[in-house]
Amino acid sequence: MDKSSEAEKMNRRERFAQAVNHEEPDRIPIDLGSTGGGMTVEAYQRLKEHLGLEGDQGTRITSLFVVDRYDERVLRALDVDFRHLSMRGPRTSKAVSYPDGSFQDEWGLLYRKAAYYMEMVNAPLREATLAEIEGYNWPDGSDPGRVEGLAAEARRLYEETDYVVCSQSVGSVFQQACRLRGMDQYLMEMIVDKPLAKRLIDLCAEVTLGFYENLLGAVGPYVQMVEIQDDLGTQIGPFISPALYRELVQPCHARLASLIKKKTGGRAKVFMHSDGSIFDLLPDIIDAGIDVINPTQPQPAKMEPERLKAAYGDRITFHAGLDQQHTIPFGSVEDVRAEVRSKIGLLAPGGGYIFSPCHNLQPDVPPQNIVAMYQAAHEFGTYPIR
Amino acid sequence: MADLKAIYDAVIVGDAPKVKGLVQESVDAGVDPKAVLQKALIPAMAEVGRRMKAQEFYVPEVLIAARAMQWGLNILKPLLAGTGLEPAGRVAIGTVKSDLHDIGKNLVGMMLEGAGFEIIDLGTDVTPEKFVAAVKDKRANVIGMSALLTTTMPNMKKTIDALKEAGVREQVKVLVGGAPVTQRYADEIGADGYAPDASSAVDIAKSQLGI
Repeated sequence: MDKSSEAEKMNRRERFAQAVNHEEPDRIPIDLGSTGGGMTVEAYQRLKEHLGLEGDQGTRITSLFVVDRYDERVLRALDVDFRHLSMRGPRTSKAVSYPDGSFQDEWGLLYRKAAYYMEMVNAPLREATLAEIEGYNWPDGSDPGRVEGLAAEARRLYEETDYVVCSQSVGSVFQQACRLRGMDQYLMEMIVDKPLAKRLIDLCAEVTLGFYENLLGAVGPYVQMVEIQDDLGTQIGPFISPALYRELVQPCHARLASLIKKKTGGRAKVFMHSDGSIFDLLPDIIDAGIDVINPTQPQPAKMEPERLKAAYGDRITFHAGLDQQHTIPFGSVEDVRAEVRSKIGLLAPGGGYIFSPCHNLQPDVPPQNIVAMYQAAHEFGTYPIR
Repeated sequence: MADLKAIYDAVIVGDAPKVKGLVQESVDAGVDPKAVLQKALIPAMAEVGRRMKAQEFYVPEVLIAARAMQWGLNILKPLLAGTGLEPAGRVAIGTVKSDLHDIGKNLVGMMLEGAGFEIIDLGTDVTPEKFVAAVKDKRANVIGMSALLTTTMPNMKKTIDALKEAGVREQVKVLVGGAPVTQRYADEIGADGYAPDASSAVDIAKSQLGI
């Protein structure tokens, strides 16, 4: 935000490298636009108006009404250290759009608009036998259209800027198995029909690995962080027990993390987004090879920043951590500043912390609060933390 | 009473076929269906709720237990219909308008059913009018609303307003829950109760109805 001191500032990638190595850089790295840490279109448009930005430079919106690529002026105004790449659609797509605005994605999931998100309304494999699951028309991750222009964009960012170059998540495994089979049914089958539950999640992992092979074939040399996602928590605890996580889900996450390391020569950090209360799964998530965990929402059970930092602060980097269910949408600018300061005070000491919204900023978040969030992050995130 | 203990155990481990078989055997052998319900199924679900709160049970364990309970209940329902046994309460549940996230709502419904309540499941994306209709037409005396998003949460208040406008607010207890919902929010919008989890929802519903 302050151009005059630009020369004295640390290189952004060094700042990131120190933070994820659990050291204190000059200030905390500041992010916007990671998987699950971006903005809804409505909040974004209002922020742009608030910042007095006219016209548009390069904004791209996903079919789920979340900003996928930001107008560079917004990222500069908030002095964001990261730039996120996102995979494109395939050349030959199985996705279908319908006149009423609903659409079916290439996994066969049907979405319709509800409130501010597109929500899934079917479970295409609910009735399927194991044989039918094997023979399902799975998406083809290797389609060259998915990475069209992506290598050039990544290379430009890598060579011409000092931004931390990241790649957004391209899929989930546990969540995808739940979606395809129906969540209630899949959760039950994890106990009562293990062969089917295991095969379905393994197939989701294999298809997702195909996406990452393709993605990292293009951007592998240029990225410092690669994102995966899987929502594993409810507000009160993990959906599944740690034992069940280790048995069926962790091997898939470990395969993804290992592929990411392999395709980036071990250089990139693996970021995982999981909503909800996942404290009890964290040791196993860390063992799967995850370096950075998002969003560490403070509201769900056992996710208090003090507890997280004390238990795993030396083994994993926390990404986000703000109270977005209450303070950020509904608080005053002063409340927002106090919330940012308090969370930084708890999570940032010793490094291992990256600032970010902890969920896509919803349409109910006033632009003043977003600007205040980022100003406060710069102000209170300078080391040593006071 | 050995049969009832076996039914109780089979519900807890979520063995639906076994529960179905044992409940059928019991009623065939002349065991009072009311006893099967009140001494096996309901206590088993109370224990499931306790284990859920203690984090010994996670969502899959609760779902299979609830399913096992339902298989047993399906055998008992026609037999109980003639006995004049009234449900503990009639609860109309749904996710509020524009919200489609229903796993929490489903868990609450199952736990309430397991505690002897009749459930009127209004599903997802439920308009205030539908909640009002459930009170007027289906004699619901409890309404349970769920929301996952901060942006859909205000529809809880709209539903309460609609109940007032329709003149039926005093006939029902309104319970709310869902990730962003808090006791403070429940108080602000004039709900009667808030539950942070499915097991607590049963306690709150009971205490609101004075059971």
